[in-house]
Amino acid sequence: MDSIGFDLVAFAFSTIRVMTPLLFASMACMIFTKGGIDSIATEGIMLMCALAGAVGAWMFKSAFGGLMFGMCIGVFLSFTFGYVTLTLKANPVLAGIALNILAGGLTIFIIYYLTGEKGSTQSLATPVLPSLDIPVLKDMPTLGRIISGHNVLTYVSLIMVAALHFFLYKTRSGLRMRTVGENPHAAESVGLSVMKYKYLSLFIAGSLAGLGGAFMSLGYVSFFSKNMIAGRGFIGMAAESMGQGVPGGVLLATLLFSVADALSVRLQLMSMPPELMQLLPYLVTIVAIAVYSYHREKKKERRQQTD
Amino acid sequence: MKKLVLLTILAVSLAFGSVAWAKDPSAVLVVTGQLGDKSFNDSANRGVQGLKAAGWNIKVIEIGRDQTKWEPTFMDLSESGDWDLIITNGSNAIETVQEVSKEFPEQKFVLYDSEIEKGKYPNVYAISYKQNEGSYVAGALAALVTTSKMEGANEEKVIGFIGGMQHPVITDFLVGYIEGAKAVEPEIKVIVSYIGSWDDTAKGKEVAMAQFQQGADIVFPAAEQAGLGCVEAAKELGKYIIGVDSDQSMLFKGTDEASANTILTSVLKNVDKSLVRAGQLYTEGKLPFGDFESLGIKEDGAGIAYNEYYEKNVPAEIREKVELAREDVVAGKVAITSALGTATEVTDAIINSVKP
Repeated sequence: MDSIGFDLVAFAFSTIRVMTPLLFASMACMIFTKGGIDSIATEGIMLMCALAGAVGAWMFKSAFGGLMFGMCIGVFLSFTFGYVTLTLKANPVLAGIALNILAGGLTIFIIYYLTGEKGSTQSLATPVLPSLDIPVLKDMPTLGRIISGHNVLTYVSLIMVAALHFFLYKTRSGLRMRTVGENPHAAESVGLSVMKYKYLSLFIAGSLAGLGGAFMSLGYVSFFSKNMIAGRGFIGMAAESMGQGVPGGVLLATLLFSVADALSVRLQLMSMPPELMQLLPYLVTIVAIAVYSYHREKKKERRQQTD
Repeated sequence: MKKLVLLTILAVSLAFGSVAWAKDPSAVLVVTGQLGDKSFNDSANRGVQGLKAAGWNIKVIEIGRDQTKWEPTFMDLSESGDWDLIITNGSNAIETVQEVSKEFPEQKFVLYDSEIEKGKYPNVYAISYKQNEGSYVAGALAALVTTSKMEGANEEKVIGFIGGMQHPVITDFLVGYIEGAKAVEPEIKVIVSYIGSWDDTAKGKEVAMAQFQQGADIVFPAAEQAGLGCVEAAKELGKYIIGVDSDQSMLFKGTDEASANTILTSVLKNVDKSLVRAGQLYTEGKLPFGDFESLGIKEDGAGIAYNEYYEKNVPAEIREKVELAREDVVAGKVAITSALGTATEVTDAIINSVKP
């Protein structure tokens, strides 16, 4: 391999790895938004779940146990957020910011309590989730090297996109959840329990954020370190709105972010100026949003002309 | 009457109190960020704990990364007048401290990891570390490893450097590293990447993986917490890491032997030793306030870690050559460029000279 050549296989593989936590985040944001709930707390929930995953894996001596524990904490926090904003009617943005800040401090407190250190849980021996080699695919020349051998949660995240699409558009509960999110009054007027479907969306989104958080500490790396989510929850929010809130669109938007992120790492190796390369993910965001709004406005104009 | 008694008690206790203060020197360490980074802040903490053992009155405050809280904290501490020295990390808080120091000319400040303009701040003393000297030795080691027959070394003469973000101090590490490597192997290539974060361990792992896949067999991450991700990448791929700021392999000892073994050595800034030194100078009345000192290998302010993992994992012939490089630095035989106060064109030229 030429040492300055661009290794496409490694790049594609790394894109998929980068995408996994982002995809969980953006799917969580999507379900929050579909249920009419502000998704700003995703970042904090993921951070807490990343810690819960590592601590759970250490407590139960099993990565799967950690994953389950992370998901439970995700649902618990999501429900807490829902209770505060829906039942107690707190301002969701403020409550979300409070949860994010709380997560930043509380996680450090907990790891200090458990390990005596404030940076990471590396002194706790934690098992990690395995990587999967897909039987037939792995023997294919290039594609196999790209698609096979990822962490098991990576495949879960992709299956989740299809599952959520099915749930939202092919099931009665999905339809009702969307209705509640879009117009709670209309939903109530036809006898739907608004709270029930809001809590359903909190449940699903909380579990997804839990999976994403746990992936960070049980798959991506093998420990929890402070602030390790590093804005992935917020990127999930951006991907959700860029993908217009439909699973396929959100998947594409997330993929775009991941490509930009992985590219920014790889291009630095090719003597590209690092200042510019680090800008890339943000540049892509701005350009994508600009293009998207331009198209939307054009469409609106055309519609007005035909009216 | 009651009031009078109370007042007397208050006055007496205050008088005794101040006498007690005057006896024991005191210092407060303001940690910008949190302890537990297994690196810089922890090293500073060890330093002040050393002073505590020497009879100092010590307090440690962690003020997080929210810069809006920094100035009020320094103001409050200065106003209280309880502390002889306020010690903090200058690479983050230098501007804040310079401002506050003007308002409290009686309060003495010690900044580690920064330099100040001479004479401009008469109550501030700054310590900088010749990280380029430690990095020079590490660069020599890296070049020797990549050209060796060690298990994780490949054919290519490529080594890596990963910074958290672009910062003059990080560039100083880089420049020394390159010059050390070039001194051993003029043909060496150094891949340079930045993570863009000091916290994002996952991205750190991603960046390190990319470098290893691109042919580097030993990588030197100067990226605080995010560097832990690089260690993990090296562990997975069977490659090597040079740790930074504190003895990182010893931190993994007993809990994660595989990680400890990937870290061949660490480039140290001996913040701890430098603070103990500053404390001693202060009690002797010899601390040069208004100025900064740059401590290198010679003054024990910088260097690389010699621990059991270094002895075990690095072949003896490489260790001998590394020792020679170190002696060259101590004897002043090599001129190592410092990125601090040097024009970007100069450092860029050095970085470009080893681009793959």
